Amino acid sequence: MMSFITYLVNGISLGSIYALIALGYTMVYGIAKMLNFAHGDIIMVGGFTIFTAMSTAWCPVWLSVIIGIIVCTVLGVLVEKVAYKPLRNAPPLAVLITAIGVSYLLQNVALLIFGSAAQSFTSIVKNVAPVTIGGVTVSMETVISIIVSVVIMICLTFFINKTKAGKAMLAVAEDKGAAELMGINVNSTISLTFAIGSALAAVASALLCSSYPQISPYTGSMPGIKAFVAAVFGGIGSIPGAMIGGILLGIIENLSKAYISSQLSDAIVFLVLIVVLIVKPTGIMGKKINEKV
Amino acid sequence: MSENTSKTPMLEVRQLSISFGGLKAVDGLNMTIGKGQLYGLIGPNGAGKTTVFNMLTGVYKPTSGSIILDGENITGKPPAQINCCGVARTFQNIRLFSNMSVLDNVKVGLHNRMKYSVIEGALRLPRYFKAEREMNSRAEELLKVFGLEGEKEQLASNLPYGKQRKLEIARALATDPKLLLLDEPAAGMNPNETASLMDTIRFVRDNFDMTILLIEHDMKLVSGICEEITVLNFGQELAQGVTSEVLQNPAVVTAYLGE
Repeated sequence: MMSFITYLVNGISLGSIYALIALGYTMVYGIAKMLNFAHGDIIMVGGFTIFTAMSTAWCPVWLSVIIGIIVCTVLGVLVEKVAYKPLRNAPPLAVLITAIGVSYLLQNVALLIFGSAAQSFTSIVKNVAPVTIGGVTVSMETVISIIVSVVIMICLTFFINKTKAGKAMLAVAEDKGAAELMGINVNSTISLTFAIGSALAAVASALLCSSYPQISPYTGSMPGIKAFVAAVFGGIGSIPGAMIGGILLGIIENLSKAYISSQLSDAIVFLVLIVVLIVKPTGIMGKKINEKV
Repeated sequence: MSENTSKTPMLEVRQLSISFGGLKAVDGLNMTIGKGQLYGLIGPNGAGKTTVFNMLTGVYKPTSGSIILDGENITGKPPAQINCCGVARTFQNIRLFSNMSVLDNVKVGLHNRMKYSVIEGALRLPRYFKAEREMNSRAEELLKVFGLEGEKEQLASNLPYGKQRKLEIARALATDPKLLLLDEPAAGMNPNETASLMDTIRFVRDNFDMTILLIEHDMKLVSGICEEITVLNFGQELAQGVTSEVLQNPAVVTAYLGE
């Protein structure tokens, strides 16, 4: 029983990291109606930035993470401006392929700079003893991941529902044309969405690389795809859906690693996606879209 | 006062034209609307009325011609900027933010009227609270005008049809416009609702100091409240002038009823 709880807590921890990444997917999809497949590679860039900053002796951990967040935010906005904005009125397939192109570009630039070998990442909470609560022992990374993710999700929910900029995002997501005619600058709202999504990806990269202390140019692709599965699972476009989808996916992955097979855990995750798409194509929190005819 | 066309114009449209491919959807439209006037734009289906609205609000860029709002040339500006210059509109088929509350719909309209930055909002600095308080009270005032204050927490999509129309007008007024465009405000309304809508439109003009241009098919509404009208047919002006006179013009009657 104790080991089950440990697996569960670790699953929630991994899941909350997926949720942070999934939020980026789902917010961008909600507003720009595009799947930003380069989102996973933003995580990788964040990881390498934090890695590089921390390996310089003078840079404390907190500053490294902040540098990582800034670099990712700027990169996210830049990618949107350079690659996606010119395609605002292009068919969705063109945008999708561009996103895949950006993803490969980022991976290959990282390959050029850092090489293909995985390097070991120093945890942002190194030399901190594991915590034991009621007989269940979990690592500090796990605890930090859960706390940070939950705090961020609460702040984000507040930001979106209670501030002017957040409401503008909701309005643009619902009807870009009408929002524009109410005086909302759609371009800056889309930029803000990319900025927030990328900043969340940077935080996720710090947590992810600490829990699984390795980094390579391909680090971002698997978590990126899983977070995408989480976003679809929760109902793409829905913010609470991404949170719930991410956490559930983390739990499913960890429990299947523990009780079924660690080799099959990824396969099981994608099986979940297939089942969701068959049974409830709009996801857990997704709304049914009634097409007007 | 409707005859008084010499007063300062709020909107001047000169030789406004737009073509889609080979089709001239609007061709050389001229129109002058005085400050505080209630002006109607009518015409058979497909005459180009909504296209005119789309050019006035920046959704379409005119092929040629100019649009002067209160002395300022707004021709070809993007929609958000034109809204900031003072043009707001409602839509033929209601386009509320249906998954947001009634209050939030109006607050989206207030977006540019209350200034605080993203950072101030994220960190909940004092200016955020001050601006949000002002936005809430301004939005509630507007809802009260339209008798919607009791439904402010409801989702916009849950309102009955007539109230959704009113909410659209409230949301447009929240952007603090000089010129309000109403695209078929009475569409789908029964005679009682139309009568109350006419009172609302007059009330808005008088109490908000508004200039109103509206598209409408309901002739009772048009002849009831519009001081002057322009009749469009196949993208061209068919007649223009004082409502009662224009509606008796044989060319207008023919265009509407056929030979």
